[in-house]
Amino acid sequence: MDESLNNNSVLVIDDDEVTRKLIQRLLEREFKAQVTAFGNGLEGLEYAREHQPTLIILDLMLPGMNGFDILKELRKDRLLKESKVILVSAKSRSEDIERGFDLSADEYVTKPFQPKEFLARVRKLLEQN
Amino acid sequence: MPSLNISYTTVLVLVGLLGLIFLFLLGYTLWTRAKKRYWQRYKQRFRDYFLPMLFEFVEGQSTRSDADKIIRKLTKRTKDLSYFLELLDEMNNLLKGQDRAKLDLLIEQELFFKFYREKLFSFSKQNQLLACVYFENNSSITDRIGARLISISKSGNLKLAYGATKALQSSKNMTIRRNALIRFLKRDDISDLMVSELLHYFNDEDCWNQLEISQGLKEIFFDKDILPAKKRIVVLYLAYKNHFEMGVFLLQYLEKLQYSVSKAPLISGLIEALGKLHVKEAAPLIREYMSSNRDNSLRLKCVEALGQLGGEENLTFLAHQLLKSDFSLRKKIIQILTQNTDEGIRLINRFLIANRKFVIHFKQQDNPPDELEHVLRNIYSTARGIQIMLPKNRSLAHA
Amino acid sequence: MLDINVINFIEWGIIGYFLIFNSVYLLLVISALLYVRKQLLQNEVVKPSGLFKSNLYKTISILVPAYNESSNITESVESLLKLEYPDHEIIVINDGSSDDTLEQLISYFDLEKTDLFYEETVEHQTIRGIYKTPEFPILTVIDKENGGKADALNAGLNVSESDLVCSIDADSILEQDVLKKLIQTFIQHKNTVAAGGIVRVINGCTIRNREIEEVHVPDTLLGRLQSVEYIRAFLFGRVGWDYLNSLMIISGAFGIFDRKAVLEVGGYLTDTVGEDIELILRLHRHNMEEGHDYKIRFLPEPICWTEVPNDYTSLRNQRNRWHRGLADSIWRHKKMLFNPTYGYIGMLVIPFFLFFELLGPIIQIGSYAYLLAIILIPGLFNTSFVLLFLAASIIYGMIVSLIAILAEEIAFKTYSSYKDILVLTLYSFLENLGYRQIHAWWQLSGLIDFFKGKKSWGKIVRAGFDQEES
Repeated sequence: MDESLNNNSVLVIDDDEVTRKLIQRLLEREFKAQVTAFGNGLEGLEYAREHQPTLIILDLMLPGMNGFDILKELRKDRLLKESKVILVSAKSRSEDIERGFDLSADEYVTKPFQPKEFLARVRKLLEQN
Repeated sequence: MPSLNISYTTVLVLVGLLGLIFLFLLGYTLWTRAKKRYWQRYKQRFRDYFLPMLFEFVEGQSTRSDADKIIRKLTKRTKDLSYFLELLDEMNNLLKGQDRAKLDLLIEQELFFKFYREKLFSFSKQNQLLACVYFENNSSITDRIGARLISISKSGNLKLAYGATKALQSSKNMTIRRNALIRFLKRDDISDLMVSELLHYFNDEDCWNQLEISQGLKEIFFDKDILPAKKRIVVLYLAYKNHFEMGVFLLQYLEKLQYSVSKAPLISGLIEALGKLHVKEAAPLIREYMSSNRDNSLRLKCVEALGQLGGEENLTFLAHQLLKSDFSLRKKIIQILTQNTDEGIRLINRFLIANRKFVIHFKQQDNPPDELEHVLRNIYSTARGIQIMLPKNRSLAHA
Repeated sequence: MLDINVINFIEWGIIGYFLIFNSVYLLLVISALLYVRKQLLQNEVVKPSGLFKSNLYKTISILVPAYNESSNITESVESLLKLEYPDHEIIVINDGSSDDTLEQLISYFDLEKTDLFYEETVEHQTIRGIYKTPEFPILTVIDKENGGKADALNAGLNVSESDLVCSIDADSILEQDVLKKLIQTFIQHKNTVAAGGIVRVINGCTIRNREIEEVHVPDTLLGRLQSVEYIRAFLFGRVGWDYLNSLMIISGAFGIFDRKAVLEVGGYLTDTVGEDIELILRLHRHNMEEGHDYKIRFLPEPICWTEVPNDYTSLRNQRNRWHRGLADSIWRHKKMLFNPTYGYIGMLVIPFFLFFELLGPIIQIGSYAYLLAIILIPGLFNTSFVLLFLAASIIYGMIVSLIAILAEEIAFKTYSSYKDILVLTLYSFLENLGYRQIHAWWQLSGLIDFFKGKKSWGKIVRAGFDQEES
């Protein structure tokens, strides 16, 4: 069992209920992480600023504020410099992926995905620490 | 004017009617909104209940009996069935590979199957459509369902025919799929976008390899009842999916075609595809179309294709066409030359030098002929285009 | 004393007019309701999915003409950048604004001046500069000399290279998935050359980050009256016309066109106030003359939200302008009137718009004047007429408005709360008691302005489209 996220907080921002719940469940089970989830970009951003989660899973197309803008805001916040960000999106064009990495996302997962693959990427990211 | 009595009655009747509609509107609004709220709450509870179960199912061994266990928890109410399928559909879009395939065990459950089979065989078009949408995701189409879908796909109602044809694309039988597609293509009321959508469903890469798919599509080209404009979409699709093995066939096909206005879209599609598939042998024929044809949209495709094929001969040919062509072609040629490495830049340089001499010579003349005015305008416009489109890090010797 | 026959004729004429006018709207609303229900239920079938996994879909350019929009232009562009579609571009055309619209855009999006190589297929005022940014490759800003909305749209048409162009007002808000829904029309009907969508009133709605959170009726009297009007005339009225395959108006605030088809008829006309109606008529006319198989549709679903004027003067001016636009468009295409070459449009729709919408205000104002006359002049008073007039114009009108609200509730349930519907119902009574009468007056003055103005710009009229025929 990977312990690196134990007692650490994860923030999931995704407007799709099924995605949100699936990711929440996967992370809770696999890493025993404390997961908080939001369907709205602005609320998610507010939460991130207050609680500085270790890992942020971010959807690109969101009501309120889109993923790229949230990412930009997150990176502006000094307290959030250490947080890892994974973008999860149905956008699979290379321009979007490139843009995500340009804005210093740590990982980019395209929907649809396989849960095992998703978890493997999260694990790899956390091991880099 | 009618008598006072009639007038009074009319006013009263209308006021009464107005009142009735008013009351009905209020009642209807109250009732339906309350009902909607109730079902929304119900749906949320329903999803909260089943979603973890579905996650568990996908994570686990996912046997048939697991699937049955979940299904047994469903009531047979239409609402339950549709909410459940909606959930499945959302998961279907989110997962891929093996995990996604596990969902088929649920989607293909007898319960849904029976429910939609009934709808498919009902007389209501609405029900038939709903059933078609369901069978789009169901690969276990039985003979009877298949036969019914085939008969619906022949319907005069375009939407129904489209839905049924799309559903038939989930059949495991290549002949059924292909025949349904061809039958649909023969209609004259279909949009190009429908064809592209159907081709995506036809091209099931999990089931068949590229060769089988392209062989399946080949038949379309020999069917006289299918309009050339629809064949064009198929050609473009083959090119988009990189069916390189079809290159030679498409070239031979193009060679046999005689130009006519109705075939122009197909010819331009073939030329576009040959460029994308890098069929070098097609260059002479494409150049011939470029020189002999006056249809600008066709010629534009020739330019694009020659640009993709590349090579000194093709690029030189394009550079020579610069002044003979209309704006859209000229723009494309400049784009190709400015981005096509050193060879293109060399050609542009040559073009600029040659034409500068011409312009100087022209300006020295006292009474320049009017027809040259047009050439001069073209030269100016082309030079401006080159200036704009040339990548910033490139410089020209004589710019 | 007037001849009794003449009086009878006048009175029946007035009542007949109101009866026909309201009945046509009643029919439109009812047929629209049935049609919309069917459409919404069947949309699942034409929902695109495979299409976007290949590159064989249609690309879309959104054209945003902006004139003195500095207060909301950056927000508006930002919300357009968020639209869900695999391949769309946004072309903002700054139409020689006198405020800092352009500067706002440049500084907010870090735009750089660049140059594009494009052809002037349709004419427009000089372009002063084109701006782009590497960060948002899909955004282009054109800065040009002032020339009006139509002129700005023409510049956009030239610069765009997409299959479809979508023209919207800079201050309106589009729903995020609007483009994906719009494309459904193009899947469903081959040879669609133009399509309009629902335009709804945004006043009163709760907005967060340029997205609608809750839909409510406006707070003001005029706003509420317009909400009813938008539902009755601009929503169900147009769906009804669409059902009869004879749509004549696509709102300038939101429409999508096949770019090549628009260029083929010469783009927007710059010397008319009704460029939106005029373009649709020209598309109908051209395609029918050429014998093309074409479609112009209205979509009941994709939604554009727009701010409606809240003060009396702007509303009056807007309606005055709309009516002049309608007059001008029909005048330019008078050849289509009662001409069987133009099918339904020529034989039915244009006549209806001419006699009932355009000239209707004359009859309406005339009948109120007549009503006043018979009340004031002793001996002329006729209770029967007054009652029937009341019935045919006001009560019948209320019934139609009310049914439109009911239809809205049955088909869409757009409004967030029960209270909103209650307010709308009450205002649907008020719409017929005062608003329509004032509205008719605004329209009548628009008509008068049109006749007054036509002489002065008569020359330009002929230099426009009509030249093509000779």
